[in-house]
Amino acid sequence: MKTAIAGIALALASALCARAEQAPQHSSVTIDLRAQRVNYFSDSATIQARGDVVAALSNGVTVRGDACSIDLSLRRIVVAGHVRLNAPGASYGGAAFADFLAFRRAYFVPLSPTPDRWTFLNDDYGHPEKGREMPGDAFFLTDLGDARPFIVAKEAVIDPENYVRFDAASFVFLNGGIQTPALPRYVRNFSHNQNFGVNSLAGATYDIPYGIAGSSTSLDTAHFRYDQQRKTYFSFEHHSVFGQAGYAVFSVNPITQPAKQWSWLTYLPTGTSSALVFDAQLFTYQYGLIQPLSSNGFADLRLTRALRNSSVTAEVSQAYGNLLAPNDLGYYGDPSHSYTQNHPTTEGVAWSGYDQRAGRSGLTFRLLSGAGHTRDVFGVGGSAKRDVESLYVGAIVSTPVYRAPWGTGLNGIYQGQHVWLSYPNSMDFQTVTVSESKRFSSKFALTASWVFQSVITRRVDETLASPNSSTGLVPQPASPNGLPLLAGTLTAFPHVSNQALVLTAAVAPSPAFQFTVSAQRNNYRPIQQPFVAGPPRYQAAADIRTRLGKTLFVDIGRAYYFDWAGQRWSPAFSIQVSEQ
Amino acid sequence: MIFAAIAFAAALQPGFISHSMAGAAPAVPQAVQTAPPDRAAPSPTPLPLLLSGQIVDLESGFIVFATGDALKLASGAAITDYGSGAAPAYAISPGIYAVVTLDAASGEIQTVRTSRKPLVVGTPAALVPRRYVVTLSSPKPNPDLAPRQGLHPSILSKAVTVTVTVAVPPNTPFSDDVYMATDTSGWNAQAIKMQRLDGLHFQIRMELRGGSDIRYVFTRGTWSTVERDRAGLQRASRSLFVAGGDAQIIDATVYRWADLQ
Repeated sequence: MKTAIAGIALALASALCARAEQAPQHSSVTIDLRAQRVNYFSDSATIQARGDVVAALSNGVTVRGDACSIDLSLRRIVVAGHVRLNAPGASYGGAAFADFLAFRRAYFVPLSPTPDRWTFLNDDYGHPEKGREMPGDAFFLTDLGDARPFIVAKEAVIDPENYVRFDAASFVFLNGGIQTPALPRYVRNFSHNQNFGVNSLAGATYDIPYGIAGSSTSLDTAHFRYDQQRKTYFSFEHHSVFGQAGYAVFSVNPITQPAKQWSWLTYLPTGTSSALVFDAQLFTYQYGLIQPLSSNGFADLRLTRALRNSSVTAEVSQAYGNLLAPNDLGYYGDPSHSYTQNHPTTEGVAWSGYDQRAGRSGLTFRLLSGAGHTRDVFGVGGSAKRDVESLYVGAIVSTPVYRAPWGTGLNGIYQGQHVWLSYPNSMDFQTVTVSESKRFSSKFALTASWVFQSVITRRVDETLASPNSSTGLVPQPASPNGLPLLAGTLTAFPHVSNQALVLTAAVAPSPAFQFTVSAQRNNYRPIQQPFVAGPPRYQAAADIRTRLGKTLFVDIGRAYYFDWAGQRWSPAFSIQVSEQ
Repeated sequence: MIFAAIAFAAALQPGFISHSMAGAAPAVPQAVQTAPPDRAAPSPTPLPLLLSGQIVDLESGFIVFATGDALKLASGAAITDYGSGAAPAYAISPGIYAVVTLDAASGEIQTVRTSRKPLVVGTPAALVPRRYVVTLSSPKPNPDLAPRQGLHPSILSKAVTVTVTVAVPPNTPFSDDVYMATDTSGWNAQAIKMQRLDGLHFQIRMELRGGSDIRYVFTRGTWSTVERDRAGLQRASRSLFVAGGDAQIIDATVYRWADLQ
């Protein structure tokens, strides 16, 4: 099976390389901009240059002038003041030059012998259209008021659709209060391609990405990170995108500590209605890149295809308990890195219907089903059985939001799933949510909800360890014993349930400030004891999200447990700074 | 017809009434008496025009506005700071704003008063009478003026209130938040946090500049919880173009999340 997965990975890698070669050449113009001062205003997606400006476009045009403004949103470049325009076979002097790159139109005001208005169509600089009407703001230099730049440099390479690259960038912080010395090459990606956002790094309290290389189809990023367990460390991530839908992401996290996670995420459309997903993770304990002391991981391959009113996903995954060759000692380095052999393989097929309306009732429903097979020569889930089959069916039923008294909106949702295992065993998962909301104004809303969740298992000890989602055995979030985490607690009894009553108030007086506060009461059965089973009986939580700068937001949250086994506050504030 | 309308408008001017009443019989108003200076026929003593706008060059005896219009600069034309009236203490470089006085008789700029901030004085440079614009070629219409006009994002662009409401699939965990990830945030999965409206809807109200063109997708806070299409396949990013107007309303539907079947 190892060979099979490796073969699939190789075939996929080959397919990706072939796809990259077949991808059409990107036609966008890149600009090599040099000046006495090049400023990048990230808030307004604008680059401005002053003093001895030279803008060399990749289509062979070079423009010199006193000032330059590049609007990355509109993909326009304007060079103004004592302009000298050199293009293949043509050279002109004038007052201002503007290139609307998205439309392949360039506008120019020559001054000698007399001012005129010229338009160059489709990069034909030898034959200007003279006197042709221009857009009213053809040469407008974006007005940024008193805004401070984010980056100051003397040179930049700009792909107006995708990225800007500075070879010696000084960063400006605190409204001009701090300016760093010139730092190594920095790439800022602002592509419309959403796949540059795919994140393969595990969560961290702080993450400062620094683009070190990039193009219109790739981005390499170093991350300076902090979390409470690992403290500070560096990570690396690479993105490659194929067209608008395909991507491959690779990362090492952290790269500066021995406990490393190597990740590979791939999404490859195989037609207009199907796609292949390949995810693999490798966990190693190694100093630098020397022989690891432990190595395990998994590989997962999924093919999803849209049908008429539903979709089907076939999935195969392989978990590698140990990728190091066994030795006589039974461990590597020291006994804490012992040899563990475990090779579960899981295959499955899942079917999911689209949301359908139930006649004129207003209800919508979705049906789910799937089948899976798990194999492990050493026994599945710790049992003596080497092969286990599974089958599941499920449904989601939802009401619309009904208008209720006092201007409230009332809504109910039912989710249920029944699973058969060939141990034999069976499991039932159910969630019922009823919520009522009242919107007092555009700035204040109140929601009361009742959430009932239950898990019924014939034999709680005969479940699957490490199954995959296509078999229907791991309701989200995944849990170690194959049963769902109920209210954040591992399911350890044949019949468990939790009723949660939640009251949430959301206040948003302005887009720059959001405040959410909630009170929750949990009733977990059969027993609700701290550190044994069940969540805190009562808890209150608050979350504030507010603006730090023009594009920076901070999100701070914390919960209060009302003396749950001596615990009053959640262990720490959750703090997240993000860019908008 | 235009002249008739101008004449009618002129007849409503208080000065005209007193003038016409001087005679015994009502006189037919003459268009030249009250027409705006830029529409009037040349007269012996036309009024100077006050024009304002962003300038991109001051060179070879011409002043060139961001509209691309070049006007002749009179020899010895005074250049002063708009605020102080003294010589500007800053360089006259592209992007500066100016209020200029155009002598209608000579067609030359007599004075230039500059400012680093936009000036709302006189006639916008874009409306300068074409006969004063120095251009070698005869004006030609542009049949395919494709670029959008008047939506250039700047501090002058008007803020538009954009309200985005999204319906989420019923299996969305009730305790989860919903966000918008945008290209302007580097596709940060938590770029814009939305407020829950009810059991199935979230909403956000934002102030965006006219002309903004944003791509976005909905997430539940991480990229592994990004929205998918009905079949669970990756969907193209959504597009939001902020046109003019006071408000813009967008209703969206998420059919599935990447991590939920």
